[in-house]
Amino acid sequence: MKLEGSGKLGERYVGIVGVRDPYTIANIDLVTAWARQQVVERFGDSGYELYFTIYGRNAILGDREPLKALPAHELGIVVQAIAPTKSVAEEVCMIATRQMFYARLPDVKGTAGGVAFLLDEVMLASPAYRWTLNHTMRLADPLELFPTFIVEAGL
Amino acid sequence: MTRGCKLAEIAKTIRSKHAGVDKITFDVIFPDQAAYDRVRESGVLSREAVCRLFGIDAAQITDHVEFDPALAIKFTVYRRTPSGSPGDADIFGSQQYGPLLDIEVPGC
Repeated sequence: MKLEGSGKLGERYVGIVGVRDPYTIANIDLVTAWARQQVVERFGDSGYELYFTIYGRNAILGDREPLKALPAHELGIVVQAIAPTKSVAEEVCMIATRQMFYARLPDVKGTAGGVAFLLDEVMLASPAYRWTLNHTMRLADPLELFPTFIVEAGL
Repeated sequence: MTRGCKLAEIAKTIRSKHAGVDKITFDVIFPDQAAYDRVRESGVLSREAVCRLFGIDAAQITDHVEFDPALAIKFTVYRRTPSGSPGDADIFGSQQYGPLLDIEVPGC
């Protein structure tokens, strides 16, 4: 018999930003690192999970993307924050999303904002889960864990 | 003929799909024996070639078969993280085949 299971990781909020500036695109890992660091300074480095998914570069294949070094002319970044409570998840997501706007890159003089906001908010998403059980169990009889009973309803 | 063509031009089907909790499987199916043989013999979809393309170790490939009756080359790789985990951007593994399309196949 196949046994599969998943465990809840926490509540989740999602933020979305866009990037058009070529220098920012070329240094996008520094931008997400900056944003993550701002979260660390507020919450430390544990007790939450934070993901940046960078559409237009390697969102779908991750490190397996052969064209990772050739990003598109604009990027969409989806931020996911997961924490035990909605309020912490919301704040982690808000800091990580908004701080990309304020990221400091070497040689950039402008201070008007490094990313484009689709929405000036973060959105509640479904809670996050991860697979925790992927197992098969040998049974002598396929129905032994699913007994069938017949009872008189007395009607 | 020494001109090459792209895999997408000579294969009938190129697809990827989730296979259980922690694997993604790829199918490349050809319309005829000649196309199947050309790709098979060229080695452009060998285990080693797949590892180079995706930048993965051979241990990440759980299966790699040339299935003659279906004129198909199939291989399966481990996911980076179980399907649907936060940060996994392809829950059904359905867009992982992209890099296969532009593989150059010699002699067609």
